[in-house]
Amino acid sequence: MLIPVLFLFSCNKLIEIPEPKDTLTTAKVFLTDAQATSAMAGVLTKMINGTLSEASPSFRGKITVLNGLSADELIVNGSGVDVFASNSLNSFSTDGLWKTAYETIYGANAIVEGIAASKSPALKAKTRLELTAEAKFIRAFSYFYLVNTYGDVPLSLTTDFNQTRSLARTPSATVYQQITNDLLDAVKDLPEDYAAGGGERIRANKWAAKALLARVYLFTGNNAGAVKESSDVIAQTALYQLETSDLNRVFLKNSSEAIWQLQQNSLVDNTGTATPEGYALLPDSLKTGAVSHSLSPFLLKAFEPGDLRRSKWVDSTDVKSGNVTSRYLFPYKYKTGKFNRSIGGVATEYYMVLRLAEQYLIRAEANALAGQLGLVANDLNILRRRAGLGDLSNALNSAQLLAAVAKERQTELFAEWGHRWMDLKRTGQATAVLSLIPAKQPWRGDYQLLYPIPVEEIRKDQFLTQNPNY
Amino acid sequence: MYKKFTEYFCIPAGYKDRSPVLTGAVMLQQATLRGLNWTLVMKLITGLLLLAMMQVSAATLAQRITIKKQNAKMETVLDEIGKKSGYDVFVDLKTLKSAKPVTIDVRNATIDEVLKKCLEGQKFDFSIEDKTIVIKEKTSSFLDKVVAAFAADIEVRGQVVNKKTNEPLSGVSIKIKNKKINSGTNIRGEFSVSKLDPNSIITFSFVGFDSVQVRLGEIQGLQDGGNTFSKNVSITKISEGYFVTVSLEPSVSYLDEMIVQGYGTTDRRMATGNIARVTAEEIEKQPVMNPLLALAGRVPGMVVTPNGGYASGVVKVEIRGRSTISKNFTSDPLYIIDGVPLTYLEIGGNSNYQNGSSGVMQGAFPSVGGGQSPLFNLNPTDIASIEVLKDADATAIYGSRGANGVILITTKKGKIGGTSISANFSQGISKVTHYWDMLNTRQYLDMRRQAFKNDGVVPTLLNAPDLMVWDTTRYTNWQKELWGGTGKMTNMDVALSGGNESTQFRIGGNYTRQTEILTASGANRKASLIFNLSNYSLNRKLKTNLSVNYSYSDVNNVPTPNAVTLAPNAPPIYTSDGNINYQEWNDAGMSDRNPFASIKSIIRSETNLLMTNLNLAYELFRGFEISSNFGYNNSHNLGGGMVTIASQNPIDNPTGSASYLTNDNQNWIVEPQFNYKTDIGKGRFSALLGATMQATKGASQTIVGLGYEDDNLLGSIALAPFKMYFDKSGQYKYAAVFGRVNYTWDDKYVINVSGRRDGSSRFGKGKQYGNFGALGLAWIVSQESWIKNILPSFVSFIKLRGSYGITGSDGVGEYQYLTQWSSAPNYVPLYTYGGITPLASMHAVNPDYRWQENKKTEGGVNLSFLKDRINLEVAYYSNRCNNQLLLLPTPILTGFENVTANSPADIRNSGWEVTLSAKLINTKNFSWTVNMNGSVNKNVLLDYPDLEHSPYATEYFIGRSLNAKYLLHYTGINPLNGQYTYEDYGGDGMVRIKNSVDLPGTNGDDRYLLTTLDPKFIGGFGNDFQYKNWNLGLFFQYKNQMGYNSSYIGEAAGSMLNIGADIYSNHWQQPGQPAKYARFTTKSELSDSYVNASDLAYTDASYLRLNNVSLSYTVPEKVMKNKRLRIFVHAQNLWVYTKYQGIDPDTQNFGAMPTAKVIIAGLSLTL
Repeated sequence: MLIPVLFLFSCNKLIEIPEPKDTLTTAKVFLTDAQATSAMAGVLTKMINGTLSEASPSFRGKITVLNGLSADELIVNGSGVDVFASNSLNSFSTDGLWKTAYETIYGANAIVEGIAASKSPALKAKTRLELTAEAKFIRAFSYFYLVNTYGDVPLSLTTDFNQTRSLARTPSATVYQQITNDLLDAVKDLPEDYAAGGGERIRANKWAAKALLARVYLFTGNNAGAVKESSDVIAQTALYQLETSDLNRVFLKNSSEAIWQLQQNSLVDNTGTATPEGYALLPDSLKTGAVSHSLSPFLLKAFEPGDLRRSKWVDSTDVKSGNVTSRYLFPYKYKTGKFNRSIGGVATEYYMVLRLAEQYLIRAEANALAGQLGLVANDLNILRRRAGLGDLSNALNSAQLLAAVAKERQTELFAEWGHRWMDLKRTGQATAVLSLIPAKQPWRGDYQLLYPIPVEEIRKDQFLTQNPNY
Repeated sequence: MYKKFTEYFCIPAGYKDRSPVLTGAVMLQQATLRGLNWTLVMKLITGLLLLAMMQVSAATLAQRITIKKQNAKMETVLDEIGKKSGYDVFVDLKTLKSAKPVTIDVRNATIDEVLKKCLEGQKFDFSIEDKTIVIKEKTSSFLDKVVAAFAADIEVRGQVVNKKTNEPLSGVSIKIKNKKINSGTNIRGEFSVSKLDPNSIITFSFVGFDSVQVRLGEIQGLQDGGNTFSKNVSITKISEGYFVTVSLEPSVSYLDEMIVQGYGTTDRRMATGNIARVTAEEIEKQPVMNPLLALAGRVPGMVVTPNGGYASGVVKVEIRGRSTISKNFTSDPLYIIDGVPLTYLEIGGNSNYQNGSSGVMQGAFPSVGGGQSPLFNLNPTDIASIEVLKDADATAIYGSRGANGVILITTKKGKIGGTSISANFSQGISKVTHYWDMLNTRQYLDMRRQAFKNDGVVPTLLNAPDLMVWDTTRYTNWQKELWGGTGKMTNMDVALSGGNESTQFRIGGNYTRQTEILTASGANRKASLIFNLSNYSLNRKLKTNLSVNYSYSDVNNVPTPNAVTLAPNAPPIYTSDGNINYQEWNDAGMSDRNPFASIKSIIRSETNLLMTNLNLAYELFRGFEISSNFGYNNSHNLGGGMVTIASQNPIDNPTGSASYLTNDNQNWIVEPQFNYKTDIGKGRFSALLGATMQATKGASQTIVGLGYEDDNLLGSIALAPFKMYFDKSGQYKYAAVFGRVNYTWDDKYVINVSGRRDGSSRFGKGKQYGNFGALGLAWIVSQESWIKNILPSFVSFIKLRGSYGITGSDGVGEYQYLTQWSSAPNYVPLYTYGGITPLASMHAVNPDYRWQENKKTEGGVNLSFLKDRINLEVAYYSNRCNNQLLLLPTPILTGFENVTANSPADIRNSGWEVTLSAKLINTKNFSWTVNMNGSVNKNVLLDYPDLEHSPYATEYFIGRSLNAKYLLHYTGINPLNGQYTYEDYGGDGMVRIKNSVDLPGTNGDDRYLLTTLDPKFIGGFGNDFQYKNWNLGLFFQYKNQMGYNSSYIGEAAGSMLNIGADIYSNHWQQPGQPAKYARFTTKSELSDSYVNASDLAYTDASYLRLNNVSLSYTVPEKVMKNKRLRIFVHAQNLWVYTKYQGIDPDTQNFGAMPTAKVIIAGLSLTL
């Protein structure tokens, strides 16, 4: 009859639609150098700027604040209990890093795969190598923060959801191995200059990869590797010099100390020309505005008298509420905040991710751990002198040197990317230091040193397990 | 001819000489004597002339008679006729003995009519000549048989028209009793049947019209020239036979009401599918701007939910329960307006299951109300009817697009007749129905102080600015402040319509303006012009119908902040100079918590919607029509929002920003069709073969201007210091061939088969086509003669029907099978990085997903009683949804939170629907009509392979509704510490909800009670009273459901949020005190947040709502002459009966604005 005949009908012309105008397929993205570079810009902008509606990826100042609270660096102002400040996280506490990091990793994986699959001659060999290397650097960077926040994490190296949707956790040693491999590849193929960013230090180069590799080696106990990689970076004196003339110059954009900065787009609603940390940590108005987080007394106590970092990188605000005035201290490393940022203006600071001072500290620590005690003080003294402090005694033993490194890290790297939190954890000091802090009473146990994996993720991936005690 | 015959042969010689002075009675006596002779003579002459004698007309006589007799003897009646008329009556008294008693009641009738009536059903004939009536016995002699044999070749030709509009009706079924002749009218309504004999009875029947029977025997004997035989038949004798004009009257029976179905029409009597109809009258009575809202409660099995109180907001429509487990796709049915689908591409990412489609506003920043419903632009007064297609039989012809049901909207058409103008004018107001009963300042401050005391915390400037900084003597009723306004509504309609037999037109115009009850809000305005033109060519073979509907709407509203729970002593919204009062918030250290910023922002949405449709049909040969539907619609929306500097906190050093959006959606469709209708055997056969080609394009562009230093510049994008641009676009193509075969045998058995092959651009290569089809059967039980005989007489109609079919769905959005890199991957743009425009992946890619299948089964019974005055329809359905398309949740570690895929979930929605329509009283002056409907739907997840390892492991449960929840069992307030306590079901010493990871009731999770928020029963109940010129309509809506008890906000009372007065008066205050609500505290404990997940928070939220009241008075015709004037008052949402404790059982979110009540009054004039 009539009906069966209908089922033979099939005309693909009628339902063929052209590819969408506002989007490109993967194949088209990796046709040319310019478009492939746009894909990299997509990954980087999501890390720092988010999108118009969702402007709070975790790499955007959140690690600094949350890790700072978890450690003994920042305290919360105002009423209410902050689960990070009191180290009382539960399985519903969210830090947001998981999502940001894995979205970044997806972007990096997509670039690695897209370039590998592209046969386009317009995508030149040099671009292929450099973008692949940069993507691997970004991937390593993301995994570094994942593994330091959650411990063992699933290792996703592909965009194929069929392979990644039911991943189990990978031992952190394996994750570190992957980080190391990616960074070694990045070191090999990344350019030595900043040409990709038009001279601005906003795109990772070989030295950025080495700087991160040095940190990874330090964290994984490869002291020799850490010394070697950090020395390589420090040796690039033509590119990198400590800002010795004025501490206030350290965090400016493209400062001579900057190895890798992320560039905030000054059109971003609210933050404008401010860096994420400046926006999050500086008061509404410089001398009288409220701050939601302030520096903890433990950090302030760590500064030696006369430390220029205490006077130049820390400031205070007197907040009036009714007829009572309270004083709060805040990090003033970053100079652009809510009170002086402008939307669409020209930024004076970029978001510092890797800087030279850390490399001195890495080398000092690695040398101390490797027993090269004689080399330690020199690197520390370089930073101390800049801070207006005297040199360390030449007679310090290993433990004293390590303590000196820890103190120098605390005062140099405060309010930057959660350094203090990770240092306390990797050196085994966390419980001893944190469990005594009144705001963290009662100390719930070392399980708090790992953040809980988002429960949504465990619900969606039944092979994923939660960290203990959450 | 007959007349001549009577002249020659029926005038007995001498009659003329008979004395006219004899009374009728005497004459009767005399006739008795000679009757025999007369009969003999008659027989002979008749036979010789081969003429059949039946009736004789004496049109020349103007004598009028009134006579009334009940079961009287024929003799008596004839006698009286004779007396009253003054005619002589001749009859054979002997033969009269066999006459049956006569019942007659005629007024002012001619002698001819009286006699006809008197002899009806008798075996007598009469003849009249010159004031003499002759009654004689009918014979079936040899001669008569000869007559019959010769007469058996009568030909009847004619035309059938619609009595109301005078339009020819094509496809009218023509049947001849006891003959195997079945015929129908052609496109001009014409027919011809031949080889008839005087005993033939012709029946004309047509969908939606009352049937008309013509007894051929009765029409013979008419004079030459036109004759009005009865009110529906007029007959002209022509050379070959007769030309009969039959006017069919649109049926007033509920069963014969015409209803629109996919690509055609049917009626309730013959329909095999489930189609509900809402009429223009029902829609017009409701003062709503969006016609979808007029459907609430009127259609069993359909739930209509507006998103918030804004008139322009999106309206979620769900037919027969939730069939998708995905929250990302809408459940909206397919909307078809005059044959053209209103398809919107969901390119903006703002649409989802909960809210429905964001409609014309697909851009990045939707307006208030979650977008804008395209049907908001449609003027309810222009709608002739809305049909809701529910089961497979009704919807399968729409294939994949009809999986969620189909809503057919038909606009009004012109009618034959002089041009008439009808105008409506109405004006009304709306007000909020209730306010939440909240604490005043004294009670609020007391609550706060108790909370601090309970916590052992001293209130400070930091933790209690409401106590320490703000004026504690101040009081504001925030609800009044925000929703205390009076909404105003003005509506004007004018329509012009008319036409002749070949061309009809209707032109309508409308203007509506409405303001919301909100104190800070602009107005909604809309204007529309609608035009409809129908034309038949002279030979009536070519039929053209064009409709054009153009409308403009302007929505100017601001989002209203939810400030109901704001402390009653919080600072006023505005400072004395009209700016937003930030200073007091800043001073209290809460600079970022002032909720009123949006009040000074500006949100605007202007929409132009054009809907056009051209239908051409040509009858190639009898019964075979070739036609095509050409449709185009286009919506163009200009939206925008401005964040002024004045609306922002000055300490943030703000700049202004403005966004400008355009949203375009255009849709064209071409549907060529072949239609064939014929009669086969005792049945009617119709077949439809057609194809659909549809293409839809959607696009939105957004420009955001940033950094304005002056609010006055905000109107211009060119003056924006910085700009961002982004766009979204999508294309959709859809092609299908479809067919439908319908066969109705002897008006008893109906079979309806439809099939379809669909192709959609929404699938990857090789998966684009799918096959769908349905079978519908109906058995009109009451047509069976053996059943007719045993049926009690009050049962007038019984039909059993059933259907089964498969429909599909491609509702997944465009290009999901493609990798897509965009500079605005989440529908909002990425900022450039280092001056480079970024690109990022939009979604995970799965090229393997395929068509979803919905299998629908339905069975139904239609019963009518008392000559169809009471009609009952009961239907049972069971819909299964398999391999449904959804966004399968994936862990974010894959890069995305979900991926488009088919789910193995097997979901069933089954339920009962009952519709009752009854004309309880129907007298000349008073009538009472009742319409009732009710439905129950049961939603069950039947199966989900490996559910425990799926992302839905803790969300859905096999054998349960998708909306089922497991709850803790509440065990009272702990009298010692005033906290809520729950049953430790797991028995591990602590009460826990291990949400999301463990199943309820396992691993220490203590939830075990099961509840579902699915409505148990929904229904509507309408009464319509007509007394003389007064009409009163009352429509009630009923819903039996569990709801969320809005007293509990999931947070302990005592923080800086105002609470319901009930909590204040019944909370725990000291140890040992029994209480209904927990202690006040500023620190919410788990026990406080668990309330929402316990049976304490769920309560009966059933209600009976007087949804609509309409009262109208039509000025009597005597006064108005040919004009019609009606004065009316319509009201919406006047009264609710419920045990629910919140403000309104449909507003379960504490502090949310309830639906307003509306009253309008107006007049309607037809000239």
